[in-house]
Amino acid sequence: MRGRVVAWTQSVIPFIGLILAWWILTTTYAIPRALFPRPSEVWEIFVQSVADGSLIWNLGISLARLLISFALGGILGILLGFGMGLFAGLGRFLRPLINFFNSISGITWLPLIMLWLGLGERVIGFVILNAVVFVVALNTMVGVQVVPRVYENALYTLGGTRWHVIRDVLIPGALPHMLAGLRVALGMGWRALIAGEIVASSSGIGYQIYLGSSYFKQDLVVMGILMVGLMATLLDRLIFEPLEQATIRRWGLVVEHKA
Amino acid sequence: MAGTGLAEAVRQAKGIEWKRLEFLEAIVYNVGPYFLLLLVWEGVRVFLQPDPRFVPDVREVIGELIYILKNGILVDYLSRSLLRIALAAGVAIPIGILIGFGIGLNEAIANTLLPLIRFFNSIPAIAWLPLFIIWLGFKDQTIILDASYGLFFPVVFNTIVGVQTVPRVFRDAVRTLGGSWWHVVTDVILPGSLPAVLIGIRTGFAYAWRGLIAAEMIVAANGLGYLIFKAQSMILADRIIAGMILIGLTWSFLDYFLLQPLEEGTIRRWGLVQR
Amino acid sequence: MEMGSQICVRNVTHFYTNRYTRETVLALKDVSFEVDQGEFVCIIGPSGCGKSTLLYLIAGLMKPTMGEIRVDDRPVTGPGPDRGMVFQEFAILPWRTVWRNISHGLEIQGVPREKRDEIVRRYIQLIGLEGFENKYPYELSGGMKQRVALARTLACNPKVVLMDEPFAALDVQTRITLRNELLKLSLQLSNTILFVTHSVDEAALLGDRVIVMTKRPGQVKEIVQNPIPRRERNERTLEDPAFIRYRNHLFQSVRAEVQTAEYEELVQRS
Ligand SMILES: Nc1ncnc2c1ncn2[C@@H]1O[C@H](COP(=O)(O)OP(=O)(O)OP(=O)(O)O)[C@@H](O)[C@H]1O
Ligand SMILES: [Mg+2]
Repeated sequence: MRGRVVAWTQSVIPFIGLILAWWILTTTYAIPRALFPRPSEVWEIFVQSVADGSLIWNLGISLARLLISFALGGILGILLGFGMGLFAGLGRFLRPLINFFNSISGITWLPLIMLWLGLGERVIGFVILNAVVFVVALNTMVGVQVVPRVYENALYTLGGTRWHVIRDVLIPGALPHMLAGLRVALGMGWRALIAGEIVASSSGIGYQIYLGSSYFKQDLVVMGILMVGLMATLLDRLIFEPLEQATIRRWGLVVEHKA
Repeated sequence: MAGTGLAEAVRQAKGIEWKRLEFLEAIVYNVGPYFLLLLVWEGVRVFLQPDPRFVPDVREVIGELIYILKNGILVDYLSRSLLRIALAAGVAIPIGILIGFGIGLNEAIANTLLPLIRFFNSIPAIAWLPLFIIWLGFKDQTIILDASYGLFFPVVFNTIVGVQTVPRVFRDAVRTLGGSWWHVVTDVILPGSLPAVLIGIRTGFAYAWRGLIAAEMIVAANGLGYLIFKAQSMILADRIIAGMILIGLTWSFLDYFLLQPLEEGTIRRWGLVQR
Repeated sequence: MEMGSQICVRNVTHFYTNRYTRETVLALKDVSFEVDQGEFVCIIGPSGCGKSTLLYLIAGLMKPTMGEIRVDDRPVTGPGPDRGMVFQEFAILPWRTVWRNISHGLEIQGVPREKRDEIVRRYIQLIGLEGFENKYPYELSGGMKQRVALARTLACNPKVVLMDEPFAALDVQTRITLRNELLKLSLQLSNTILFVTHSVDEAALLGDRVIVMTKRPGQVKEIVQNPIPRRERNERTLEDPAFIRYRNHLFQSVRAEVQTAEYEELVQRS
């Protein structure tokens, strides 16, 4: 317990230092006002946009977009990855394609999709989904492939069928890689979302940042950036930490490194 | 079979049958996927009959590729994108490795820097872009800074993991040989963390490449990202697809000819990678 | 202090402190013994009694909480090439070839190239590593790896060689082979050897003396003199009645410690 408190204070101090440095640098005009807002200004705009509801609205839209597309993309990716992991030939056949599409995933599709679908939800949805699917598929495939053969054989000698092996060995065994893939994919999806909103939308937190910058309202921009970081951290904490805790950590499949 | 042993028979069978099979396999697995892709593409065009301005056929895309190659756009834009990513790498990799080492080796540095780095890592590079534009204008520096930002974090985190996972006993061993702290760093920590550092560089490049394309769409007046973004406003679907293929191919080439050999040359040779 | 004693461990007590919970584990309690120049001394004791801790302290990789360790009449302040160590986990560097691993200590000490190569060649021969010079560790068997580690340590010609269960990760056959090789090799060496092991047979055959340690917190239970001089020991010694008596004595001594340790664990759990 005491160790926790110590660790927590230790990790807070750098942030206090950072904000202090920010405050000093901006109030002494070491950094020009035109380039970076003061902490107080960012706080004011934060309070203001919470009060008028615009921040909640934009964040909500972004979150909804992200989660819907991420869920869809995640499911697709997992199915694809399992197929490729279970059937070696399929995996080998599709792998170059998946690799190729992975390398142009997300934002690269934006121009073409905008041409096809114009502006709007479907464009953003597609870009996120596209950023998610291939990462998840590749990771899931590797996850299935690296499950040690002995577990599989052990189950067969216990009278298990192929289905048992999939359910009791391959799915839990592939979970560490799968979760890792999903985690990376969420980050990728979040990036694609922001990029998509900057380029091809008129709502959402990404659009808000863009709007702020085109009016040279740096306080709005910085507030938006901080919100983006905060949301990403929160999502990771709320979705993946509990998920990992309940599964792969409990099974001792991850080795924790001391920081 | 008379007179030849079993081993000889096996060798013979392998020599003839396997060669043929392997050749067939190689064709199926190396050419097949792309063939399938073309098939789907043409299938969509022929059976669904979409607006040809939006879904060009394969020949048009190839024609466009040849066109931009001939008028010099391709070489110009490609080289600009490559130069930008090289500059971003030149900035981000050394700094990332240095900071990663600092954090991995020194607890005080870790305590002060790690929380900050974690936080900034959660902000995607693209979100900074509007601010970077305000700072630096619509210039190359903006794009390079944005790409560096994406490249930096994977390098840092992987370097830290690399430093921390070098088995303690290696350090002890070198010290019992009379090695100083410096020997430990150069002979143990540096090579020992190299695999992780290389993974970090490879991951970072993937982020940076995406960030670069996005930044070029918004900021630049040239480069591959600009190529496809501009083509969109001119409704040149063939050019967009040509550009996308270029982007994918360039990445694959970078990965295959630059990043993978780096891995092979060192860590594979030491047997640190089993696969 | 007695003349000729090279390692002198005096009233050494050591405990570990968990940096977060502040809990402490008493690993060694008031340990004292001396080892003469050129002697081969084995240390046995139940698992977790602090044998590794003791070697790490002598190597200078850690400082004892209390007490004093002197080597050649100088207090140990840190690790140095005069005290080489062979680890259970081999600890040869994966990114160096066999040759470069063996020459590593010499490189560190700045021995010139030609001299270095000569020494490395000699030890490669002595330890039977010919033909493996340019292999990387992953291409070697466990026994070979440990040979490399031993050669690396010996190449520096340290006054003291500390060996922490060097054969524990090997299969029984390899273990016996290496044990016999080490016994023969030690006759050609003048280094003082301190050898930690779990195996009573190993300790009995290799050690001129054996230090038996108690369960944790580790104390010196007794120090037993080998009835057979090292020069006369070989595989047939295993059947010598005097040796058997000696070996059985060691066995009983260690077993008593292991049993009380297990018993206490049981009591604690229930
Ligand atoms: N870094 C550490 N922090 C806390 N406790 C430790 C640490 N290292 C060892 N210990 C504890 O100190 C005691 C002695 O450890 P040591 O490794 O010296 O035992 P050992 O005799 O070498 O055991 P084994 O025969 O299993 O190798 C053990 O109970 C161990 O749990
Ligand atoms: Mg030990």
